[in-house]
Amino acid sequence: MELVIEEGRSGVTQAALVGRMDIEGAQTIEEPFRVLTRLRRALVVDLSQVSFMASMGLRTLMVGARAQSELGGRLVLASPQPNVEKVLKESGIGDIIGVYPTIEAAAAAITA
Amino acid sequence: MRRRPVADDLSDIRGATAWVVQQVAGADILEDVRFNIEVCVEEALANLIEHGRAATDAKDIAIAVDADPDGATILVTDRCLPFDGAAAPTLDRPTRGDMRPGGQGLRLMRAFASELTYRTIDGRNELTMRFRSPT
Repeated sequence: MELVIEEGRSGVTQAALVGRMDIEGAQTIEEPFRVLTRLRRALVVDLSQVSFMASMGLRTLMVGARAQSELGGRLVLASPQPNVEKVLKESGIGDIIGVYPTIEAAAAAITA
Repeated sequence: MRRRPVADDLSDIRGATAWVVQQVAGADILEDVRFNIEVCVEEALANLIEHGRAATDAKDIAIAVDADPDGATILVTDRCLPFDGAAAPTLDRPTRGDMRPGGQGLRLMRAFASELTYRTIDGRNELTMRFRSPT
């Protein structure tokens, strides 16, 4: 599991997650993702290259979203693959964090 | 059914899940159903490894698979203190006012398995997860 960070325009940071967000994958990115969510105030998490997600992956996203909320920032999700989107919907976490079909739509939602 | 022991260690879950996928590979299971299987296998094993307490000296976790054109059956066995994941209450979904991070595993298992059954025989617990292919 990889975390690739790119600073975008309008102060929005784009963080691409790459790989399987299973227990092993979530443990791998947990700490760098936690640090990232403490340092940025507008974060788009690109899920387009995440092929799998279960509850530990959801937990990582939720911890990040909660940290952003506590700091007055916002984290949103972009471009999940259909099966990953299914997990986000079923858990209800997608409704809380916000899921957008493209990175551009997600960035626009944050800066609106 | 083909059977694989599972170590009482989270680091064995990825290997166990990959083994299950390998077992069902020849049965023309749709990708969507295979994904559901992977989620449920991970949740069931993680629950036992993280929260299960051995009833005697070892958890003795194992997983077995049987696949056919109609779907797949996954049997997870253990010797932990019984916990009926098929019937235990699930936590409410989180909300914007209650952004707690955990507690989604049972919800995902119930949503993604076509059928879950649980029983205990002679100190051995059996969680059977059935995944039906769409007709």
